[in-house]
Amino acid sequence: MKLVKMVTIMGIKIAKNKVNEFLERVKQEYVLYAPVENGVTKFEKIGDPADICILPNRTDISLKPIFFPPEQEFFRWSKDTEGYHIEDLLENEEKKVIFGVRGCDIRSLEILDTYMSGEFADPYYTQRRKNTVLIGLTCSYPRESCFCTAFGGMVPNHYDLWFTDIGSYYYVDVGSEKGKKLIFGDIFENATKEDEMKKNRKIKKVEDEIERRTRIDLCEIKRCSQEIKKKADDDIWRELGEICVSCGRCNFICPTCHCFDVRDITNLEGSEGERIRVWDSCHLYEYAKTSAENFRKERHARVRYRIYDKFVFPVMRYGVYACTGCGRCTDVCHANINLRDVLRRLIS
Amino acid sequence: MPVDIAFVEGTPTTRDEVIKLLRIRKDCKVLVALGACADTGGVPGLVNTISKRDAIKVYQGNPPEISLNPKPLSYYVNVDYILHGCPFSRKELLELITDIVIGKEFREKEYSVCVECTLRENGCLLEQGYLCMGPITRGGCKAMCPSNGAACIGCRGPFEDANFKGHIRSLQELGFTKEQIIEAYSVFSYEKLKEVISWLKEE
Amino acid sequence: MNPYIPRVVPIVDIREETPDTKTFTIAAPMSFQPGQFVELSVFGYGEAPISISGGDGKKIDLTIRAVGNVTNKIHRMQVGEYVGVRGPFGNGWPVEKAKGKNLLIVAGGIGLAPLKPVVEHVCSHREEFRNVTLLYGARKPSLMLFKYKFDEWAGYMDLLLTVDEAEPGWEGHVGVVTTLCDKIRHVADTITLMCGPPIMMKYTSMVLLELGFPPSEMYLSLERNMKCGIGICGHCAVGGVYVCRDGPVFSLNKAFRFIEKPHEVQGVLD
Repeated sequence: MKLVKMVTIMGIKIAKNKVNEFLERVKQEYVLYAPVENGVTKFEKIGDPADICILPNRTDISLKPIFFPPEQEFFRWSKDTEGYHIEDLLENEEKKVIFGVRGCDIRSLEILDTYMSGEFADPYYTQRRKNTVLIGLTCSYPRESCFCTAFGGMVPNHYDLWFTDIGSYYYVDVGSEKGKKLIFGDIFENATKEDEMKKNRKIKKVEDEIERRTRIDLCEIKRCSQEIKKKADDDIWRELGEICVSCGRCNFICPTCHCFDVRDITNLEGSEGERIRVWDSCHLYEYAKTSAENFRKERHARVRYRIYDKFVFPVMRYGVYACTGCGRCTDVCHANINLRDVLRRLIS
Repeated sequence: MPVDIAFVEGTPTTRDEVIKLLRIRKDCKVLVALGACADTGGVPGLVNTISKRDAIKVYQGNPPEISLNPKPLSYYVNVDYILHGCPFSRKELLELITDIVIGKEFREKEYSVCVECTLRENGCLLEQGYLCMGPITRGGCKAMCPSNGAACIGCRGPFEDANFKGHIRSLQELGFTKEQIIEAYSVFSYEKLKEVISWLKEE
Repeated sequence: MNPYIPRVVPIVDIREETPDTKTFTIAAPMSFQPGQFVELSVFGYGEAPISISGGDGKKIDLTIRAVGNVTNKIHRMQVGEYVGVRGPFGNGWPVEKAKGKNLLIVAGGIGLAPLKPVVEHVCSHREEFRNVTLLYGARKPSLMLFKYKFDEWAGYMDLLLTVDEAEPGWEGHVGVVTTLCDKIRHVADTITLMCGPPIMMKYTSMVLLELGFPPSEMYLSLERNMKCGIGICGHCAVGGVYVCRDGPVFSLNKAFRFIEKPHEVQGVLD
């Protein structure tokens, strides 16, 4: 307790060779998720902290699948004398710590929270979201496609703990009560003024690097919603429509895309089955189809819809951009559509 | 003898087989084209890409009777349902039978293999430099091949909304030649993609 | 409460309306606003958004045309079988706003179903409104819904009926809905409620605008492919609004831009 009081003034740090010990301790109380490399880099449940892959920047696959898996069972039903018996498949709460998240990951969760809560909250998401402790990590250098500085910078406003590499130590910022509880006195040390300066220099360096590459500055992004709104009939949509192959990869990889399709699965007798939801994509042909007509038949209209649904509609509705600047959609695009270039063209 | 559901695998290559097919159509309530050959003309359809004389050489002087150019089943008869793929998916077969039995509309997948491949969180083989047919090929196979490290060869045929020009463009950007692309497009879907292939040849 | 879990309720009555449309009464106790919809589950077949066409607090009526998976299956079901229901969802018609004013109700085909609760409200609270007109068009006389109600309704309001194509025994007007618009006796101070096929709503609203009905007082009910009904799944999103949560009823002002060019500007409404 004494230490905690002190750290709020002095700052703390953890030796790199003690991180595994720290995570081992965390695991005693929490389920631990962290990045692993398995063909692609993604967050997975960790058995042995030695499996964790400390990456220089964000993972290939975002945090989204942990809270909103590609396939989620809603309920199981079976016929009985009173009609149907319904068994809700809502999972139990799980206390989890996610280690190694980035600023873009945390911001994506904030955006998803906006969508999934409100008048009708999504119980499957909120259940998984409860009791989550997020331990962030400053990127060592950005990826080619990164532009998080356009949407709030590398260090988000809210985190529980935030680690920054300062040589043989990680400097640790404490962002919440939940995070404070994980500051074990025998593992963490007090940091010096010099450590703190090192940390700030490090963050500044990487952010400058991203800025230099992206050249979309913040004041332009602030009006990007207004600008894009005016460009509904721009030629750019036809151009993009010609090269997009409607694979939906940008939607699935996007940490804030949350559309889903609902399907029923049944046995041959029709006596029992399940209702599931599966990720869906607004790039797919059947997305906006009703019994009367298909409202976004043309490919360019679908491409445009996605950009609008990231940069215009959420601003109108919730006052937030549904983009974190992670650049994953640029990385996965078969047609090499670069979101940064698209934005730059729309803003200019 | 009349039956409820007839599954037809393969596609006629002789006149006798066409007559047999017509008879099956008459005798069944629901006709299902089973597998790639019945669906698109498939591998037998490859023979249409070269001249008959060259094709016959394969048999070294003992040619069987191949009097017809192999076409999809739907060229000859009305097909109620198609189970795409080589091999077709067991799961889809069960789904189809269930849907027919309980009277539910069988859902044709109008999206590409990439969709299911991404849902399985695979790394992209196209990005790694393989000639992958995923972006234009109809999904439903749960991306079986790419998930096991082999690029999609398009056995399920193209889906309605496929953007061939976009796919060809990205393949060319990756350094594949026109010939390689034409070859890949021809393996399973020559009959369906004739127009695209001739457009590509002329370009 | 989990909004994705349907309540299991029995079908208590089935009434054949037209060859392809039936009204199912299901024992789902719920209070609803006219114009709201429910998500109807037929287990094993899926869910479909269906607007409520009547109810008394203990039961609701759903008038359903057989067009898809769920609707075809429920047409094969019998009284006593069970379905699932979630809801009611959506905003409903602005009936309160029409109090003390003239009311024009325009319906095409199956579009009369979500408007029936309004018509019935008018019949039971006639004194709340001034002139009321119901304009209803269908493809053929045999495809008209709720014909057995027309005599009763005619006692409370002007009933203008039309069909695109006459059949033996039809003595009324023949022509699309727009051909009847000039027969409406009240223009000023009128709230218009409209539901029907997209093409009908587009042309009717254009004719009504020319006649002088203000676009801010005209309300349309839109159809979209709603999967969740609660504004999360994204399928019904158009121009930054969720048809399921913010609609399905919108004023023409809001809906204008996507009726204008249905395929072009569909996703771009502001």
